[in-house]
This record gives sequence, C-alpha cells and structure tokens, in this order.
Amino acid sequence: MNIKYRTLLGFIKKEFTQIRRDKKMIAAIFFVPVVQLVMFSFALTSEVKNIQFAVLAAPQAAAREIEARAIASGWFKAADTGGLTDAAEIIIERKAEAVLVLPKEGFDYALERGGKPLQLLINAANAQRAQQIDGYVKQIVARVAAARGYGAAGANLINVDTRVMFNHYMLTPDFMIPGLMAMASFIVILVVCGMSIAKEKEAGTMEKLIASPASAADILLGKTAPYFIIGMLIILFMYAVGVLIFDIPFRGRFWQLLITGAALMLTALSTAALISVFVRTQQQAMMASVLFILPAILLSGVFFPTENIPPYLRWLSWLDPLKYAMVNFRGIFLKGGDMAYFWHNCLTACGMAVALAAAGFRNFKSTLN
Amino acid sequence: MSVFLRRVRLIALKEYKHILRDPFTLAVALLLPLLFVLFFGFIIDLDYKHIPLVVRDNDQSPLSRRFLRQLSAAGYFDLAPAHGMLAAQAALRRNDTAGVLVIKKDFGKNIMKGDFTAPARAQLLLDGSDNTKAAMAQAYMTGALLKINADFTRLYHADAAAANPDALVRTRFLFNPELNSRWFIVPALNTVIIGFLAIVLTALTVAREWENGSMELLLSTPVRAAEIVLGKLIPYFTLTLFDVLAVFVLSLYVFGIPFLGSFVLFTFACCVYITGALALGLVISVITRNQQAAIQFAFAAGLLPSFIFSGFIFPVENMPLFFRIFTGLFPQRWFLSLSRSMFLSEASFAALAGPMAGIIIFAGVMVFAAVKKLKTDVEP
Repeated sequence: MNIKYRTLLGFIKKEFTQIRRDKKMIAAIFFVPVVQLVMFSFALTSEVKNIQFAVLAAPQAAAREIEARAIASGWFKAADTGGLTDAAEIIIERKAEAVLVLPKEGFDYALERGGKPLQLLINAANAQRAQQIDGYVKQIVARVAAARGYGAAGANLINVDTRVMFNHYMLTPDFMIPGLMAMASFIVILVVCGMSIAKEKEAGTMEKLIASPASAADILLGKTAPYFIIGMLIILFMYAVGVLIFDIPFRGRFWQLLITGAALMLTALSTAALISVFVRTQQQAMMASVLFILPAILLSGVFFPTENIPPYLRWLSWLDPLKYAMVNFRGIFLKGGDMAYFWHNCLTACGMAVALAAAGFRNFKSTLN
Repeated sequence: MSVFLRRVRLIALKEYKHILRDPFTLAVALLLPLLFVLFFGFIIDLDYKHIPLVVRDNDQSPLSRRFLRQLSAAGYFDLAPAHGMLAAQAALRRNDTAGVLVIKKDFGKNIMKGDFTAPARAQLLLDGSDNTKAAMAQAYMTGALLKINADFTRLYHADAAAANPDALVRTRFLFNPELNSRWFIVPALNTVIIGFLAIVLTALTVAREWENGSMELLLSTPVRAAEIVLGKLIPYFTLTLFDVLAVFVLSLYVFGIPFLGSFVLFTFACCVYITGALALGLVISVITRNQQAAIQFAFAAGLLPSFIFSGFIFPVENMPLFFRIFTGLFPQRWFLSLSRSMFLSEASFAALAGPMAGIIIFAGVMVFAAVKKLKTDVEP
C-alpha cells in the first residue's frame, strides 16, 4: 500500500471541512441516534400490562373479587364492554383483550367436582402476550378460590425462586442501551460514509481524485478516517447519556468499551468502503447499505434472541459483525466484561473488518473507464 | 383540469424513466420485501423454544429427576448438566446459557413430606442481559410450574384439595388458536415494508434533483408544485403496491395465514397508507434538499418507528401513557392494527373505523405538506 501521510492528512482536513459545512447532517448524525436511544429506553418494556379485562357473570361476590384483584395487580384495566354480552363479540369488537365468563350457576359451582369450568377468552393475535395473560388470570382465579376455602392458599409443593442476574429489576434501558449503541452508531456511520464516497463519484470529483497523485489507499483512508472519529464520538455520547441520564450500570472497563467501539467502527467503515466501490450514485449506496443493515440488525440479537433461528441457518448470525459488537457491549456494561469472551468478539470483528477492507481495496478502480 | 393531468402524467413518465435507468435500485426495491418475508417468516421465530438451561441438581433424588424430566418434556427448555457452580456462572457471563437452575438438597424429601409451608426449593438464575429472553424464560417456568405442581400434588398428596387453576379455567385463544407467532408477525409485515421502503424511496428523489440542479430546470417550466408532487408519487406508488400484493399472496399461500376481512377494504387501506408513507418521504426530501441528511431523517421516521412504535414486536399496550399517545402520530401503528384485525378476525367496520381514520388523516396531511413545502423559488 502506498500511503503518503501528508496527502492523507490534507484529505482528512478536507473531509472535516465538508462535514462542518452541513449543519443538518451534523444534527442528523449526532442527535437522531441519541433521540432514538432515549425514546426506545422509555417506551419499551417486556412487562405485559394494560390488559383490558372484563368479567361476565351474574352479580356475585366472587366476580367482583376477581375484578378487584385483577385491577389491584396493576396488570389489568377494567374494560368497557359497551353493553355487549357475548364474550367473543367483545373481543372481536376490540372492547377488551380478555374476557372471563363464570358459569351461570355461580363461581362455587365451578369448584365442585363435576362442575363447569370458567371460560376465558383471550385475543391471541400476540401469542406471547396471550400466554402471559392466561397465566395471570389463572393465578388470580386460584387465589380467589383459595380465599373461598377451596384448596390451600397458594398451594405450592415446589417453589422455584427466580432471580434475574445482571439486571435484577429487568429495567429496559439497562439492556436496550448497549444494544442500541452498537446498532445506531453502526447504521449512521455505514450509511453516511458510504454515501459520502458515492457522492464524490456522483459529482464527478472522484475522477479528479483518481487523477491526482493520491493513491487508492490515500483516498479510501482519507474518506473513512474522519467518520471513524465521528463514530467514536457518537459512541461516547451515547455512553454518557446512558450512564448519566439513565443510570445504567457499567461493570466492565472503559478501555474495553473503546476497543469494542473501535472494532465496530472499523467494520462499519470497511463495509461502507466496499459498498461504495461498486455503486455509482448515492441512492444506490443507500439501497445497498439498507440491504446489508436489515439482516445485520435482525440477526444481531438486539431485538430477537438469536437462539431461535433454526440451527441450519444459525451460521448466518455468526457472519454478522454487529452481533459481536452488540454482545460485547452488553457484556461490558452488564456482566463485567469477561476477558476471554471480550477478546474473542473483538478479534472476530476486527478480522471481518480486515477482510471487508481488503475486498474493497482490491476492487477500487484506480482507472477511469 | 386536463392540463393539470397532462403535466402530472408527464412528470410521472419522467420519473418512471429515472427508475428504470437505475436497475440496481429497482432490484433492491423489489427484493427487500422478499428479504423481509424470508426473515420474519422462516428465520426469526418468536416462540422461544429450547431455551438452554444449565442444571445443578444438589438433590439427585428420583423426585428431582422426575421434576427435571417433566420440565424438559414440554420442549420449552433444553436442560444440560452443569460441571460445578463456577462453570455455570462462567457460562452465564459468556452467553453460553440463558439460565442456571439449582435444585436444593432435600427437594425430594420436602415433596414427600407435603408440608405446604416448607415447599421443595429450587433456584433459577436468569441471564438478565437480554430482557426478552429472561421474561420468556420466567413466563415458561411459571406456566410449567403450575402444571407440575398440580401433577405432583395429585400423585403424592391426593388428599390435599388443592385448587388446580388449570382445570378451573378453560382458555380459548381467539384469532390464533395454535398460538403461532407467525400469525402475529406475517400480517404485520406489510406495515413494516411500506413504512420503511416507501419513505426511503421518495426521500431521495427531490433532494437528488436539488443536488444535481435539475430541480431548477424543472421549476423554470410552467409545472406547479402540486403536479410535481403527484407526478412523483405515482411511479413509486405502483412499485410499492406491487410489493404489497406480492407479500399478501405469499402470506396467504406460503404461510397459510387466514384472511377473514374484506379484501376491497384491505386494498383501499393499503393504497391510503402507501400514499401517506410516500408523501412523508417527499416531505423529508423537500425540506432537507440534501441526500445524506434526507436519508438520516428517512431512517429515523421509517425504520425504527416501523419496528418499535407500530406495535410490530413490542405491543403498544405495554408502553407508558405518553408513548401510547405518541405512537398515534405514526401511520404504522394504525395500519398495523388494521392489518392484524383484517387478517385474523372478522372485525366490523366500526372497530376498524378508528385506525382507518388515522391513516386517511395522515395521508391527507402529508400530501398537503409536501405540496406546501415544495418551494417554487430557487432561493436556498
């Protein structure tokens, strides 16, 4: 590789000047990821709540007690059935998500041997949520039954005490922010850097660069280096927001964060370089980035655990550079940054970055066609 | 009136030619929905089965082994023995397992004794670095325990009249009786595809024309803003509509999702939603005038809101009040609700009216905004 350092330095200065001229882009690059981070941390929770619930029964104490306990639990809200009396219709018309129907002979009848059971209808469009709701309702019914004298209160022969390690209260920001840090910085840098190189091609200035004494290495390094710095700044900015505003734990070491961030930025930049070598316009660069980013996000484990991918396709997630950075960030923030695991992930990400960069470099057309 | 239509038609034809000249973008626009369908239909499975657990059985009695057998029988957990507590904890730290189950000594003895105030004990340590996984594991464990408790009580202490909640309540799961996650995800795919693709496609068109100067040429002709906006919408509209119909056909015939609503209403809703999303992209393009900034805002308005704020994976009902209201601003949320209702249930028009109004209002506002904001002077 033929790198002239003074040329490279001049190149980097040019790039920074161009970036500084565009205020909207700076806003987009720094604030959009952080705003997204803040929003998703507040919005998302795995708790199943705000379940619109109705109990259909002849007026009786047991029905009122079930309703009272359901609302007191905090998960359920009393639904307004609007005068409908058919449970299925209530759910189809979206008046409630779950409806419990007591037999007309009364609650106690259901508890006697040979009695009719209670009917519970749940909107199961979301299967996970429906199963949670089913569990909750059954618990409440069991408690009411016990309170009326049927069965030992909270009869448990076996008790499993569940403890959630690393994130005891299962707070969303704690596990979302490290994941989003990786995802947002990766997306922004990949798209912006790729488009910036494509922009030179589209505007015709790439031809001038090729004709100049700057070598291919100078050009590619010069275009990507400023975005490396910007990417690291984004990561640090999100780290500050996470730790200072959301009070998420940081149990690893700061240098681990920097190295993982650097490895992630390297993969993003080499992918951007590789993409921009093959495209001619900014729009194509953007489309190609999207084509890469969507599988990368879905397979990385940010939103869906990767263990669920069928085994014969699971190797796809091993090819995803975002995955390594993501689990590393989560490991560093929440688990203390186990050294062996940390280096394994970093080296894999770096290896991928090198492979992608080599491919981009080899295909860079230093001639005008 | 006919002059207006003629100009719209000419701009649309020009835009078609632009699209066809760039086969790469066209290919991606057609392939991306297929990629989505592939991923969400085949690769990603929300039914988290086979959650790996590492087990440390400190009791080693026939009853503890029976408990473990029943726990793994349902297929939700994959149990593997732990080689010591240190190894188990290291496995947790290295993402090799989702949790560690420790069965305390006297597990079997306590079961046989049948003293409900001193139950047999076990401890489950879950990896909390992924809330989704941990929440699912907890839910499965609770469900499995209900059943196992009832079974063990019946077998060993039949005299204790324990109210078995499983038998007390018979549950009917409406709309998705087999609790198949695919029925939850696939009807929602169109929302995400349009919500992302449509916005991104149009986000660059106007900005690109500003950047390469052809917008100035266009504005020097008698063409008016409304004609430019409509002319640009039409080609992308047909492209996206084609994508949507392809995904619809796949949903019905490859995934076997039922469609119980009215097809005419669904197509109408799709058209309105597509128009709104394309118009949003145009608004972004018109305001930013610069492709790189346009794409960032398009991502911000398209990608993550489609996944997160629409209720696609994370139900809107779970969110705090502020977000339940805030997500109402995004058409993705309304269309998702419409789509799921129309696929899985025979909802009456009244139930659908709310979301339908949502997307109609959004589309109207966006088209209006695009026309108003398209400056017809060439001042920067």
